[in-house]
Amino acid sequence: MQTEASWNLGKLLTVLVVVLTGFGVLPLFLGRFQVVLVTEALILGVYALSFDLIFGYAGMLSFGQSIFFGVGAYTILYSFKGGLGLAVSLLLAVFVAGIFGLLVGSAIVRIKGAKFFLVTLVGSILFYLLALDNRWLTGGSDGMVVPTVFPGLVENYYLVLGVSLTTILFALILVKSPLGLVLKMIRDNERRAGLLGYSLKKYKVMTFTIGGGIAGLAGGLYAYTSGFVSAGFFHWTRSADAVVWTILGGAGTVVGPFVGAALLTVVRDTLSAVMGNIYPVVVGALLVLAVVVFPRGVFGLLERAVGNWKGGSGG
Amino acid sequence: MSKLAFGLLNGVAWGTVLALLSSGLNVVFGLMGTVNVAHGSLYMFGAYLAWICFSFLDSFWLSLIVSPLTVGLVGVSIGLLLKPVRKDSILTVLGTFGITLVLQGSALVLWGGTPRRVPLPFDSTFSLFGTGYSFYRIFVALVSGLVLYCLWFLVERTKFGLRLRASREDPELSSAIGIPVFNLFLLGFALGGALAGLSGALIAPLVSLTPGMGLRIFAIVFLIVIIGGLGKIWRSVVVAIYFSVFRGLASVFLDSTKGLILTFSLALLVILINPRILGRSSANANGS
Repeated sequence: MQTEASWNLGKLLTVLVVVLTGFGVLPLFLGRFQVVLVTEALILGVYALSFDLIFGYAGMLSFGQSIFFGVGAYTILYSFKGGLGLAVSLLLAVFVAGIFGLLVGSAIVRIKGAKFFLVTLVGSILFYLLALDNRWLTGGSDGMVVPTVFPGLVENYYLVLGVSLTTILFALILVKSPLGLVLKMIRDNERRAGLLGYSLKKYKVMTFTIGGGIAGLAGGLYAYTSGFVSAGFFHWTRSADAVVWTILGGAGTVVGPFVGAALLTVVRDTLSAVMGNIYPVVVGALLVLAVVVFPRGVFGLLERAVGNWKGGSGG
Repeated sequence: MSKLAFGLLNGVAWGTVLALLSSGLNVVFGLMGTVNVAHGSLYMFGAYLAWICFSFLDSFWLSLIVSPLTVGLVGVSIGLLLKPVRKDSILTVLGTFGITLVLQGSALVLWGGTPRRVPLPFDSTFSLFGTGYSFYRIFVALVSGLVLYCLWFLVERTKFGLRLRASREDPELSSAIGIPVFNLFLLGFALGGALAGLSGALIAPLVSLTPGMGLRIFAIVFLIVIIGGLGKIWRSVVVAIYFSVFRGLASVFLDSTKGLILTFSLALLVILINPRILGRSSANANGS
């Protein structure tokens, strides 16, 4: 799993400028509907990235990201109801979801492998049931309307774009930092990392907290742009979405989750026009294919192709 | 009082089916170290086969043979599909989760989202505190108990079981002394699938069938297997009955959502505070 394209600063800047310009002028070429779609894909990319930090970098297969997505969404709801502004509310969503990440993470990071998957899955189900049961707080499955005035679709797009790029930048810095290296060591050889004296628990809890905060940010953005929250935000299938997008896009890369989320948003949308029910079957088949044939995802495939083409050690 | 008795009796009847289902997962996970997330969907598939047997062939009883056989074959196909990644617990979880999506999605496409019902194959009841209690539930408990006993005998008392356990303990040594490890792996999947299919068929007349019925029950069954201990069939039977009696009573005295919340919380608590469950994990279920 251990491959890292060697980026130098110049290349990074070029990519950054191209991506920024591309995404910056995108709304000029898109219809209203596509702008909404791209906005959604970006938010879901941020959400998938939160899972990728936990799984792709720290090796914890969490099916519990919807917990933090939901917490972030409801934080926005109550923050708006309390009259706070958007920026403060989003920060609050990150903070509150991060606290939940810290609490949940501290309780479960000792658990390993498949059992970690189970515990987080059950945690997801539990939070969903709690949200269903406490209608006074969540509005149950009917949900609640987020009290906000929309500035407009394109304005929302730029807001989401800005937040996504900030998150990507944060994640890039994080994974290139000494902390990121320690995380990768834990993922690749947990025993060795422990023997070298690294506190596995501390690092894992830290990652889980950061991942929780980012998932909360995504949930907050989603609640804000859709103007609606419901108990369904906590549903485990949302956790599974983050997993699928990340695996298909490429786990252990910062851009992979965005690629996966964007691809599947387009696939879902195209299929729903043809035959709505078939989407889960296609996603499932793609996931099996990805696991058996290309475990490093679409981004991994691209990276390898580029690496082979350059004849270098990129792939 | 009658509520209590109903809760208890229902709990035991449900518990035996849950035990049967969890023993299927246990054969694959506990004895082979592979987590088959699709186990719940195989159960769902078995239940729908019962509905098909009833609606189109006019015989529910046929499904008690058709479901285990068909679903067992599906189990083998899953095993074959996952051959390249079977030693990596994380990848098998992801792969079988993909298969879950495919099975669940196909059920939705083929049979629709509206709940299907299979009528009770015999509707004789006996009186319990003045209310009728269906004999079918007793029948289900008896069949499940019988199959569980056969399974225990197969795993603990036959050469096949010995080889199965040996190939889990040490796959390399086992294949070195001539045990066909991969064939056993496939047989384990067949057995697990057959047990899931049978549980699904047995339960079909007691619940309404939806494509999504598999995944929540998978979470329950996986919890049971982990709390009961990997590879320990009887222990997971005890946990299954305990679990469903508790849930039955909680649902009777609270409502079904609150009952489920309480049950799941308690199960998580047991896992989190119990060092035996945390500490000992099978070789393959350990890390990525």
